[in-house]
Amino acid sequence: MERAVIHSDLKKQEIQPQPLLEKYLDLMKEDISKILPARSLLDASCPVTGESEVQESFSKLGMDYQVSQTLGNIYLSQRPSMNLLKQFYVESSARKFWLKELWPQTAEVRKEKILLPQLGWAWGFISQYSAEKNLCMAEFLPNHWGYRLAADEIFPNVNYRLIDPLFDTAGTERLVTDLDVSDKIGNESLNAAFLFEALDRSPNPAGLLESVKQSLKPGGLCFVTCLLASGFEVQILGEKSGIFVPPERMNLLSYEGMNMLIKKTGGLEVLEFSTPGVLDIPNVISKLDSVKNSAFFNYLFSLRQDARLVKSFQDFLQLNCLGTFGRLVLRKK
Amino acid sequence: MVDQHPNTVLSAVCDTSSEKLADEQNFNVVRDPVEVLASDVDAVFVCTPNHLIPELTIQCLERGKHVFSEKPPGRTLNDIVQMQAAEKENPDIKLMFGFNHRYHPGVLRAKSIVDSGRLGKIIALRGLYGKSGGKNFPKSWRNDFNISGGGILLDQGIHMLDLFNYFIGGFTSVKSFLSNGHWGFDVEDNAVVILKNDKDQLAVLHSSTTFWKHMFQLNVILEKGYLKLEGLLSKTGSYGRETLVIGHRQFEDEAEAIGNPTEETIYFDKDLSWDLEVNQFIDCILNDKPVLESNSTDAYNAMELVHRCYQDSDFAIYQSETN
Repeated sequence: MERAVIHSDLKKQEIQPQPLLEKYLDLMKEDISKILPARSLLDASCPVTGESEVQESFSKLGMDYQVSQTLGNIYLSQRPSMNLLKQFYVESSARKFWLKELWPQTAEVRKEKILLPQLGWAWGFISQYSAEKNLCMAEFLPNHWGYRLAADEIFPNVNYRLIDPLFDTAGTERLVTDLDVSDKIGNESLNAAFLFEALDRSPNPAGLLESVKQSLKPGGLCFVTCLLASGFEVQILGEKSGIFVPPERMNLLSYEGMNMLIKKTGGLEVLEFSTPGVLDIPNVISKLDSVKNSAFFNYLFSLRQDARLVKSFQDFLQLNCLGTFGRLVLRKK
Repeated sequence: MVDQHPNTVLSAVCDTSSEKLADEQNFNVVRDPVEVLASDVDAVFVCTPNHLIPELTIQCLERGKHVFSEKPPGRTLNDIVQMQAAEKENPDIKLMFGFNHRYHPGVLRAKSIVDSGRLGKIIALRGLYGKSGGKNFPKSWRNDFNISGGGILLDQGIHMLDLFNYFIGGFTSVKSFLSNGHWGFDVEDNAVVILKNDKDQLAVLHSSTTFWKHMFQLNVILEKGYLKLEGLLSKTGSYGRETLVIGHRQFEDEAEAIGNPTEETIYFDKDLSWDLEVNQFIDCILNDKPVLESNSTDAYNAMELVHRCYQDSDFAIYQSETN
């Protein structure tokens, strides 16, 4: 197995300008109270183990997250039914704002610093592991990330499909429209599958990973990006972390939770499990005031005035899979 | 590895010092290679000192036994030519050489990135490969010209030369400087090699027994970035953790083009190089496939570079006709 450490100059402000982010969160809070009233929500259990026992609970934008007892997975409970979730994505003004305002204003830097590097990362593995000329790839739950818009620059002449079993509702606004539904994907038809933060957004991550596995050819690759509950930012900031917002982020698995999910799915070899994000420390610094017992972190990141220390701390997080942004490469056996 | 493969069984081990092997084994232990040659084994791994490799390999091929031979492919260019001739006369028999560095995870990833074209064409390669000497090093057969046929360049540097061929190859100009100034063996303890091909691609190697630390480093310099392979996964871990640094060139019109670009470092945890190459050898035998990697042509090309380096040097021992 391998893991990556990345030194990137990505800054949160570049992809989430504060005024736009605040507007987005305000709209999301309104959407939740309007479209997802508490009485319409359903109980859920840990998406990996099924257990209901929790370590703790916390609220974000009026919705409740649970932290599972055994693996520390964070999951939304109560949560909307599938139909209600679809309705939310159709009616959400926050989503429209994201697509009409936030995306266009940050698209260029997102493409340069997120989309192209991640697709390039995938291409390195695909070049190594697939000898086929005519590659077939699919991105599951593409939502509003826009990888499709950058894919042609990395994968010329590749059949790159978008599969969305969730949001096939007419009228849903999105960046890309040429969507397939999951039942159009044949078994063992794909050379590569992309789950860009899709396990986080799926009401049933185990089912999604199983269906992706079925759609891969033997030896095919599955690229996963996700937020991890075990990551530094989430562990330190908890509910104060701005990196995950309901109802979109339904699950944040821990490092152990993700490994357990893969093990339970079976038939998948982990080629890479990394946490190569660079925003954990800046995000924690920006909210240190809200952290209990923050004196040591304040010393490390501020009073010490040593940029090398901060950089080596971020390297330490990445090298030991302690970051919040996770990425994995799985290979179907 | 042979025992771990589902289609192979280790039948016998031949060692002239067979007392070193434990009695309780599931295979025969013999002292005379003739016993192996006369047996009904299908394939033989030749892992002997260099002077024995050609004759054993040729005898195996002539008796219809597939051969996986350790590197280097003998002591001289003529040795590999002789082995290729025996291979040609036995076209159904497979011959593969142990250039396992091609199968290291960092090398495989680097090659795939180069082949993807994302970073453009290769401009130059720079390799450092060396060892620390170590226990009883001065008495090693590797430093005896009559047994080894060469020094550190033939022993270890040949791996890097094979990688140079793997990444670019076609070298038309060869310059080399050899030294035995530290240890005083009759073979080189340090070699610096400069290569150029007709596409204006350069390669530089420093192969050494005097780095005082096991060291492996390969830089691949491309039009749009660079790759730096460092360390090699091994049983002892003495070459350090295997890593691949991927850097993207900052172009001249970028505001922050200050020569310190964004880098990604990949850490590899598992070395499958031995399994991959042995599995490939067995697959070629079982399915009658041609040996496409680490074959006798690759071995010849690497040996030819060593030969030309030795010829270009001012080392008298390498100037005879047979070398």
